[in-house]
Amino acid sequence: MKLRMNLVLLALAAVLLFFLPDLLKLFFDKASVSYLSLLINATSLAILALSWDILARTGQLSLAHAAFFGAGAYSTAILVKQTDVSLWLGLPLAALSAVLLALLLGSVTLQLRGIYFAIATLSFAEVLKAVIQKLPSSLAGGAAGINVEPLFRPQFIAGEMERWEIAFLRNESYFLLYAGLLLATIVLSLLIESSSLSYAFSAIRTNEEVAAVMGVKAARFKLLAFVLSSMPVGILGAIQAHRIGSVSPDETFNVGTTVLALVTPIFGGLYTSLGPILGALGLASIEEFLRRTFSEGYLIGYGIVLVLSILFMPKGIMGLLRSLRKAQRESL
Amino acid sequence: MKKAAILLASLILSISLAQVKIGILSPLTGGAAGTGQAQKAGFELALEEINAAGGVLGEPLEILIEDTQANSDVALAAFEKLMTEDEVEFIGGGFSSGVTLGLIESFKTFQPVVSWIGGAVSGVGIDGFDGIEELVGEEPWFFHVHPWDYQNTAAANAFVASTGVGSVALLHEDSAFGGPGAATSERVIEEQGIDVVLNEAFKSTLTGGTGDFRAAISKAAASNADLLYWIGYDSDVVPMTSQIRELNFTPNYIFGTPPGWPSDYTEAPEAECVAGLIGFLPSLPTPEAKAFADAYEAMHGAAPDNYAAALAYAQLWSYADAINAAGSTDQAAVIEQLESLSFKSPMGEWSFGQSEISPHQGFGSEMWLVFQYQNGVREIVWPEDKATAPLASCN
Repeated sequence: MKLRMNLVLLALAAVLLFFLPDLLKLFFDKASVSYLSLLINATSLAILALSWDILARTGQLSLAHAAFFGAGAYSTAILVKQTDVSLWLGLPLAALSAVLLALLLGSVTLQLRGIYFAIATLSFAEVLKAVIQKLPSSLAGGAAGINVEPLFRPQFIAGEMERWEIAFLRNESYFLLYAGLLLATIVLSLLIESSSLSYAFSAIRTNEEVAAVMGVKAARFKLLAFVLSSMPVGILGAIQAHRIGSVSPDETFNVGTTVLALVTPIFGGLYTSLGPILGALGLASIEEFLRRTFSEGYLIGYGIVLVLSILFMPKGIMGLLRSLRKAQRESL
Repeated sequence: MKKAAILLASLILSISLAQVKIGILSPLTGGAAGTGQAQKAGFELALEEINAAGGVLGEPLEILIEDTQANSDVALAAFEKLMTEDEVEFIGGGFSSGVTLGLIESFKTFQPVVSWIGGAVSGVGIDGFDGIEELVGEEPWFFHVHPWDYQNTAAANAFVASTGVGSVALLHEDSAFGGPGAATSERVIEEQGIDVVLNEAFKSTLTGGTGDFRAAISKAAASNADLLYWIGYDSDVVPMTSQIRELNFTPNYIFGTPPGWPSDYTEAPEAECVAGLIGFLPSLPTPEAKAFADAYEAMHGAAPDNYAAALAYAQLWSYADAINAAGSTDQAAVIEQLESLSFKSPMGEWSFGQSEISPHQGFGSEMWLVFQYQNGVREIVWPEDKATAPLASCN
């Protein structure tokens, strides 16, 4: 029942997201290009955060998100460079490569726990980056990287449109693609939440030994969570490669990707579908607000917000909302 | 009729007095903040001088600086903000080839006048990869201020050849900066009849390395090369040179080409005899350099220790001069002036000319100087006509 309700809400959100670019254009004219760009970055952050949270629900602290992101980006870049197939084929290939990597990494590391697992996953991203650098330049582009064709290149028609409208059409197309991936990730997360998987994940996170006694095959469930978690990130990496127009080992396997994937759901609230999304929207909004308000030192303000949120909102935005709801109920 | 004339006159007046705004993209925070802050300091000095001299088109010039964090996503959003919210017609600043590549599609969409400092990866000579010069170099609205990678390499290798050494050990960081640079350098140095006895990669501290370069340095020491040539980042300077001393490696010359050098490094004992490539030094024996260095120190309380400040200063002055000469912000007129005028800069007079592909290349390999730390002072040792002291051997 709850799942059905959530899916209805999600369908409404999908309709809103579909019309959002046109609404922005209606109200803000050419500034809608800039706002769409910010929304794309926030949506990308939400996908990173929610997909990371899926694995975190098993209690595993993964630092491999940059590896899955990079694998997706590079698999599509190599496909585009080496073949003449449709650019869109890169997206399922990116998902597949991320899944295969997750299976490989998961099968060798999921016996590890806590900080040992975290270090192993972090090292994996670095190893993958080094492998890409060492592959023949004719295949993976070496240290310089690979150019990647854009998925959308609207044509300018002189006399019929202004230049900013081209940017709007491009950003609108990418925004809908990012939003579609986010919605698919939310559906995946909701399906996990509403199935017996959520109990298994929760039991493993709480106490793996007790879960095993209860018949929960921890290694198998953790591997499944790893695979499900990696898939959206791989596709995200591919879309990003097309949007930015190139991949390179340093930019694509950036540890910053992993840090954002980790910090955002903690800020929003762990182990829920809504928390990482609120976290992404919250952090992206705060950063942009501070950037526009204080031209200098805005990152100091951003850092203070993060520290204060850890001190006073240890369970993130979701925890705060729960406390407020509880207090409201008690006052009635 | 009278009303209409007044309205028309006030409209013309408001157009002619409209303040010119230049949008700047610069990495004020993040891993390249040192360069971004240096650019900002250079822009601030130029802005003050331009406005004191009457501004642009009779009004004070305005610059809007957006922080790119040296991140492609952030830079793209910042550029689109400048174009659609702030409605600027001219773009300046610029740093990082990765960020520049991520902006090219959007540059081509909006086609403002772009005068770009950084982003040196031209793509020339790299098979199967289109670099910045190849992708955007021929566009009439794109002007590139900083030398391209092959111009940087040409200058560094000309210095190496001028030392008269017989062998070189090449250590380079392993990313897009050091990898292609080392490959080109090895080829060019060997073409000059000098043996490259070692070409070894290391992981820079900037890209996640630990700062332990002893393995690579030991290999260089074992090669008995006359000259150690290392390509890395600013943050590698101290560990690299202190570990060279620690391992008692004493080649005749130690030459590095990081984008910048730590400002307090001059006094460090391990700095003695270390040589490096740099775009500008306050000790450059020209009146323009002295005037810039004095004004910079008066405004910021410190000497300009990163050449990005001098390039930013030169870039903003070129915009101001070109727009004033054009008499309007009309794009074609400003482009024509940028193409034809010569501009003042701390490095001397300069103008835009032809490079391998681009017809709008600012500084070339002639911009580069080689300095050497000698008794706590950075002396210019190459090229000869600008040298303040002869090159000293480390032995």
